[in-house]
Amino acid sequence: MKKTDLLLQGTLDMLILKALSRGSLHGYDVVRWIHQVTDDELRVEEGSLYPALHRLENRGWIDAEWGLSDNNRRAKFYKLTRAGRKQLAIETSTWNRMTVAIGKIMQTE
Amino acid sequence: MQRIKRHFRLPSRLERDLEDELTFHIEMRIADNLAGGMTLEEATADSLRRFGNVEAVRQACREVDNRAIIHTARVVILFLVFAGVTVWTVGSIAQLKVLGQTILITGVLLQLFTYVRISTSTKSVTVPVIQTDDSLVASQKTTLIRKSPSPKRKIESILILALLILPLLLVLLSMRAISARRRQHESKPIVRVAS
Repeated sequence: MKKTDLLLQGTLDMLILKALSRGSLHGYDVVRWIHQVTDDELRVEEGSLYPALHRLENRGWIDAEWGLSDNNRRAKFYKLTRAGRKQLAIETSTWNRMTVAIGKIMQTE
Repeated sequence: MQRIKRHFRLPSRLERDLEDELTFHIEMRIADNLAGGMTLEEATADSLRRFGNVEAVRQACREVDNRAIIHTARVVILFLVFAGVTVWTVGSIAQLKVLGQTILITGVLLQLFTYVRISTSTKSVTVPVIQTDDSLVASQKTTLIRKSPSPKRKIESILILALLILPLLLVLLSMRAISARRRQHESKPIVRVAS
């Protein structure tokens, strides 16, 4: 895996946690939310979301439950756990510090 | 609790859930595309292109799930082997020895199950995060068709059933043998040897 992919993989986990902080969502809703918020600027390969969701579930950061979607179809809904909320706070703070640090580097002449 | 429950689901059930989850996503995108004015052909092609390699995603999800199940199983196996050997060797009465053997056998069966699990999960698959390839779309239309469980998955299911039934059967048989021996022992006349 290339280094850029690794960075994106970690970022995807953070984006999923952020999306789920809004409430219980299924995978398709998570993708739709990311596309809406970023005005389609950030396009992830939609399938890559699912291994990430399963990984986060196994780490105990999100919980999954089967339910009915808006169009009455059986769908798997994910929601943040308490551990997931803590992890999101850690990742948000790390991300903020990192963007400030990178910003400082990029502003140098 | 949900996580623990998930580890005890039958492989066929996990497989069906994964298939339902991925199919739901692809079909939702098709429906949205149709609502946006695309033809069915265009909507399907777009949905598959956005999704990426379905088989790679399927494999990657299985890998993640298997790793978690094997990790949990290893902890349980260690506990069962230690507990089994301890009870078997330290147990003073026959019933305790049987219990020790049963725990040990359960551990061995669980170990077998993890071997099958490891061999079922094929080589590691990396799912690209960045979206690109159009050529994948045509080849993937066929992979959307539901697959029947592989023979290895069936072996896994059989092993899980054996894990549930065999130890119980063993305890019952052993207990019956012990009580039969005791009855035989009690029915024997006590012979006193007169000096």
